[in-house]
Parts: sequence; structure tokens; C-alpha cells
Amino acid sequence: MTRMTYRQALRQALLEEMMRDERVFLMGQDIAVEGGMWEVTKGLLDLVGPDRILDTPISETAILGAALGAAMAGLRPIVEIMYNDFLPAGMDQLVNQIAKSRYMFGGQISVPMVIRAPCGYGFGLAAAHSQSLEAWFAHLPGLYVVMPATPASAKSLLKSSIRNGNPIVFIEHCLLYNEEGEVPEDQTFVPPLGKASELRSGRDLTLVAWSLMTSRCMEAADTLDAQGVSAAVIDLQTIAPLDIQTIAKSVRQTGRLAIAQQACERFGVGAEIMAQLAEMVGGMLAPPIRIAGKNIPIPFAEVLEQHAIPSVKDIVDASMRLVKGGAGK
Amino acid sequence: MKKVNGEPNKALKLSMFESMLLIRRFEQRLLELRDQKIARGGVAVSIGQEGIAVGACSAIRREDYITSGHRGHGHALAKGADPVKLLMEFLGRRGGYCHGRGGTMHVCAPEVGLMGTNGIVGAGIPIAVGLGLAAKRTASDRVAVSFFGDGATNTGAFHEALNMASAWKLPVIFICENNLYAISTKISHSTGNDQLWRRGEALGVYSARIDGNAVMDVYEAVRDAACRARAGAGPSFLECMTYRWEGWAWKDRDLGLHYRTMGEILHWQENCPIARLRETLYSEGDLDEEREREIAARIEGQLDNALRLALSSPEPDLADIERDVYA
Repeated sequence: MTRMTYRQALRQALLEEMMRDERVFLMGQDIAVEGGMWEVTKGLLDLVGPDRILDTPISETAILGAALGAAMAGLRPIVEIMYNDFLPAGMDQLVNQIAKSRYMFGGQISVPMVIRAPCGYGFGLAAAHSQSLEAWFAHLPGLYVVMPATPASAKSLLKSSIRNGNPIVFIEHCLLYNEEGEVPEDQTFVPPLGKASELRSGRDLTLVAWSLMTSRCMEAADTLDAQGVSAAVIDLQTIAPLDIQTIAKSVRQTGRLAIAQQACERFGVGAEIMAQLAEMVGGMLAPPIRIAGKNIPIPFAEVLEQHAIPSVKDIVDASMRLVKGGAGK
Repeated sequence: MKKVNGEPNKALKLSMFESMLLIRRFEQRLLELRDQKIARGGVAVSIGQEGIAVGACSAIRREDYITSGHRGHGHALAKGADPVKLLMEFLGRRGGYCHGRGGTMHVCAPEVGLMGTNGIVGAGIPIAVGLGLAAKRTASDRVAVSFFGDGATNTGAFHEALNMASAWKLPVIFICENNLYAISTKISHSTGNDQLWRRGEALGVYSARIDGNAVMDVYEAVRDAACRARAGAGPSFLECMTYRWEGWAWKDRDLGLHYRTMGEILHWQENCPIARLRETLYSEGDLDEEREREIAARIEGQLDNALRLALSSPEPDLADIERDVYA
């Protein structure tokens, strides 16, 4: 094990896979000379050379379309989009081309590409730089959506995504880039996508989260434990396809479900989890709850921004209400 | 290509004549099939515009890539796609290139370099940039050609794609089939500068406007553009002037007389790309009535056979409805 940041883990995954497979190359805005807005690709230009890390014009449609063309021709492009909020600028390529080409063309081609795009908030960048749009992408058959929560999963899931052979929206979190953790040294570790990970077992309720909310749930679980409530924490890792079985197994044991999501509540991943569980798990001890972002565009002022997204305290309080009765809001 | 007195040879012209005629008859038959409710979907035909597909595809190689838009049957045929598998696809049959998943607007035949026609106007243009990028990155000397209409030049995808190809000197040839109308909207209503080729020039792309109904002009322009692309000199943009004889697509079987005149249609029908090449072939003594009858009979036989095979191909297997969403 090596201790490193989420950012370093991602960079290591990119470099290892580029060394392993010459078809892999990177393209995005300010990723080569600048090393990326979030500095994930810093230093790679010197290591892989300008043919394999391309600074692009500010043209999300052309970036995504060109990546699709290159993937159809047998390369393995990795695109960096500066914020997941900018993907809508290239949405036709993502929705109508990248997600659908394999199916619509009868399986004659495949689209092995990774779109890395961070979500997040907390920098005072306001509504168009602070969203979590994973539900948009997860809605599209043909795409995978992967959202790592820890340095270890950032590395292993990115390597798996690069090797997967399908178009993958890989959503990083800008508040996690500096987080440190232990990362296995084994370069060949590529876990299958589509598997959730139970980070902590518990008796009284199941907390389901992904990305930043996973660490908030882990922290909340410590607080709950001190108050005599035992919470299991499941990190989704892959949003689509959704590993509902791992969640169902835990909920059957705890009888209670709370889903923590940064994205605004309506029509979200939490809603999908609840719907799928409702079809397969009966007899819960309490109705399941969502602890989610408010249904608003993320505001600028710090006090407003902080209150738009669930905090550790929000998760603890909602969990206590769920377990002690008076569930819901 | 062999040249005789600086001109491509007789065999090339004859083969382009036959290829244009095949496209025309294929699409005329497809319209009949749609009117009989045997074919469904968009069925946007390129009758009157065949010179561009054939001139361009005759000037590149089988392993070169093309992308197209919603009016792409002709490009597929000109690139060498099998009329039988195309017709099966357009009739929604199992034996079609895409097993009936894509239909008339989304057909793909990688075996001949057709990397997709496209139902979204302009969307195939950046994809061609990626195909050109792949060719450059792998040091192959393939080129990528993207066909699109005048309407597509008003999309962001067009501008982003030409700019990127220009910045990176990619081996891409952008071919605009300017047929003067985007559905019903006349070009003079959709832009303040209808010299579309100047848009490429503004982005540093070698650009020219040519007569799209002069198949030899298209051939030579694309041949030269491909030479430049293979030599590393970057992309080209060719604005090819043409006209669609039929209505826009499925809902426009009245020839679009609510936005254009019969006089205009007849004027352009006198400028038919097939008739013009036929005249050249006759005047140069390379075609006579007997030879022409042979060609026509061969095409009708080929299409009779294609239709027979297409109608005997089963419908798609329902057991496969969820196959190929993922690799």
C-alpha cells in the first residue's frame, strides 16, 4: 500500500494505462501544458509526449465527437471535461452519438472511451459549476457512470474504465482531489465495474452514498455509533449499472435505508434506488429516506452554498430520526 | 488513377455513371416502397445530388472513412456498401447492416469505411475529425470524408469540427452538399452570407465552391484534397452546389412546392449530374445506346434481386432486442 491523494491515484492510473496500451491517449482543455484545471494530468506531458496528451479548443461537441470517431477507429481516448456542468455543451454527442452508436449500428462497432469530468461545489463558482449531473448520464442506456469516493477506488475504477470497452462517464469530485488514502501497489488490479462496496457493516440502518457523500456517511456512521446506532455504509462506486443486490442484501438485514446524495433530490439516483428496492424488498421497518441536495440551482454566497448540500450533521440527524421513529422529514 | 491526356480514364467515368444510376434507381425504388408502406422512417433521398457522393467516393480508397447525415443512402452506395444489406436495413430486416436497429438515417458499414450516417444534423462532422485524428495518430495515410448539407453549416458542431481539424492539420475532407434548402428554409433566410465555403476559409481550412452536379469536378477536387490530406497538409472544405429534386423527406411528398417553385425544380432537373456525364460519355464515344441499355438492365436486375432478398430476410429477432447496448 502507498499513501497518496485521490488526484495522485488518478494520475497514476492514467500513466500506467498509457504505458500499458499505446492506443490510450488524452484530450481536453488545458490538460497538457497546464496539467488540467484540477492538476490531475500535471506532469504527464513530459512523460508521454505531445502526441498522447492533446490540449483542445474550447469545443465540447468537437472534443466528444472526435473522441467517438477515434474510438470507432480503434483507439482508446480519454477525454477530460473541466466540470461535469460543461458536458451539456456537447450533449448531442454524448446522448445521441456516444451512448447509442454501438446499439444503433447493430454491434458492428464499439466505443471504448472514458469521459473524465469532476462534479463538486464549495468554491463559490455558483450554479453552472457546482452540479452533480450523474442522474442525467445514468438515464442513458449505453453509458456507464462511475463515481469513485476514495483514492484506492479512484485508481482501480479508472483503470477498469479505461480497459472496459464501453463509453464511460467517470465523475470525479473536486473536493476529494486532496484527500489521502492507502492505494494498493498492484498495477494489475482492475475490479469489475458495476459493483458497490460495503465499507462498513451495521445493524440499524443502511446508508447508501457515492462520491463525496460516501466519506460524509462514514463520518456520520462514527457519530451514530457513539450514540448507539449501528449504520452500514455502502459506496456505490458505479452508478450505472446499479448494483442493487448489494444494497438489497444490506437493507434486508437492517430494515432501514437512507440515501445520501449531493445532487438535488428530484428525479435522482436516490429515487431510482428507492424504486428498485420497493420492487424487491418488502417489510422495511420504516419508509426509506433521501438526504439530498436542495431542489435549487447552487447559489454563490458561502452560507447559501453550504446549506444547499447535505452535511455530516444532516446525515446524522436524518438517520437518528429514521431509527428512532418519526421517519421522513 | 491512370490518366489519359490529363483526364481520368474512360473506365472511371463509366463506373461513376453506373454508380450514380444505381443510387438514383435505388432511391426511386425506395420511395415507391415507402409509398406502398413497405419501407418506413425518414427516407430522405438524394435524387439529383448523386454527383457529389459518387465523385467524392471515387476519389478516395476503400479503407478511407466517411460519415454522413440523414440523406446518406447515396454515400453508402458510392462507398461500396452492399445494396442488399442496405435495403434490408432500410426495410428493418434482420439481415441489414445494423440488424434493423438503425434504419434509413443510421446505417454503418465499417467493412467499406462507412462509419455511420446520422439522424442529427451536423453530428457526423466532429466524428469524422476523430477518424482523421486516429489516422494521424496511427500514422496510417487514411483520410476521413464527412458529407453534410447546407443546414449543417449553421450548427456549432460544424464550426467546432472544422476549427479543430484546422488547428491539428488533420486529414479530413468536409463536403457540404449545398442544395439551397434546410427542410423548407431557404439559405438566404438562414444566413447573412450564403458563400458557405468562406466559413472554411475563415477557419484556415483550404476551401472552395464547386459545381456539385459536375461529377468530374467533384472527383478532381476531392482527389486533390485527399492528396493534400495524405501529405499532412490538413483539411479541406468543399461547398458543392446542387439541388434535391424530391421533397425533404417523409412528410414532403409534394416536392416542397410550398417553399419553392416548379420552375426552379425543372431548372435544376436540366442540370442533372447523370445526364451531364452521359452527354460527355456519348460525345467522347465511350457510351452508346446499347451499352447504356446493358448498364440499366444490370442495375434493374441487381435491384430486383436486392428487393427479393430483402423481403425474404426475416424481421429482427425479438430475443436480440437488448443485445449490443454494451460491448
